[in-house]
Amino acid sequence: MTTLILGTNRFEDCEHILALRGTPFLSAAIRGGQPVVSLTLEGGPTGQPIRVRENRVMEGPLTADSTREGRVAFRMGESTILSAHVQNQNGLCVEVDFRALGLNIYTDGSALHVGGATLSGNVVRGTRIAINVG
Amino acid sequence: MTNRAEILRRLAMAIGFRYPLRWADERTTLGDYEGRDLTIEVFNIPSARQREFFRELRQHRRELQEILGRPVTFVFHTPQVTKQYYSHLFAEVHGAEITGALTIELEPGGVGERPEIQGQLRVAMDLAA
Repeated sequence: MTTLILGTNRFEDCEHILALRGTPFLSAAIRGGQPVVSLTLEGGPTGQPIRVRENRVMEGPLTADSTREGRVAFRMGESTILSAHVQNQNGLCVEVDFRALGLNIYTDGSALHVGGATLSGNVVRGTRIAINVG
Repeated sequence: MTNRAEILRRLAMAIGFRYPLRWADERTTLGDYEGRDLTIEVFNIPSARQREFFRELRQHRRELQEILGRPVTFVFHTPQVTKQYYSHLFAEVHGAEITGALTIELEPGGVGERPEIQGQLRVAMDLAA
């Protein structure tokens, strides 16, 4: 079981963290001590599809940086849109800032911000989609 | 675009959820004016971005006018005004514990509706709100 920390929220054993209108958008796990991230955005607000499958950029203007042990990051231009690092054997800390993709979804030290909503200190366990927007 | 919720959803997607949107109602507007029933409020939008907002929604605004028969009025609230007068509208979920096949459902704009927890916890959240 992987525990994800995202903007002080804890997600345990969740298949997908975020979905847009029911379509899974972000999932993350630990495999072999390394973060494994998938990201799918079909025709998002910027009009450009983004597809990252298990840390590999399949489509879209992202670059992956997985050179450091236990850490992976994705950038678009100068902006880091996602970084994930392993905290302990089963814990993965994920920081996101999808504003460069045209989505007002980001984390800071205190919360996960989605549109105008703020989520902090929540625990979500054993669900397919933890947060659905729209 | 068949209903008001769907209209908001489409506009919110078109602007990438950058600015929370809601239909104006008695909670945020006083008095009456022509087009009040077709007024959409835009929150957290700096004055300098308002022109860009209209540019991004140009096509959608045309479509809306054709469907609704009248133009939609947009009312802008800067981040400062949003924080000062409208923070009570924004959804917040803190310290909830959600177990099982449940999903936190958020409106794209994150305003106008309380966050919805599907299943039994939804009742608990509504009572606590």
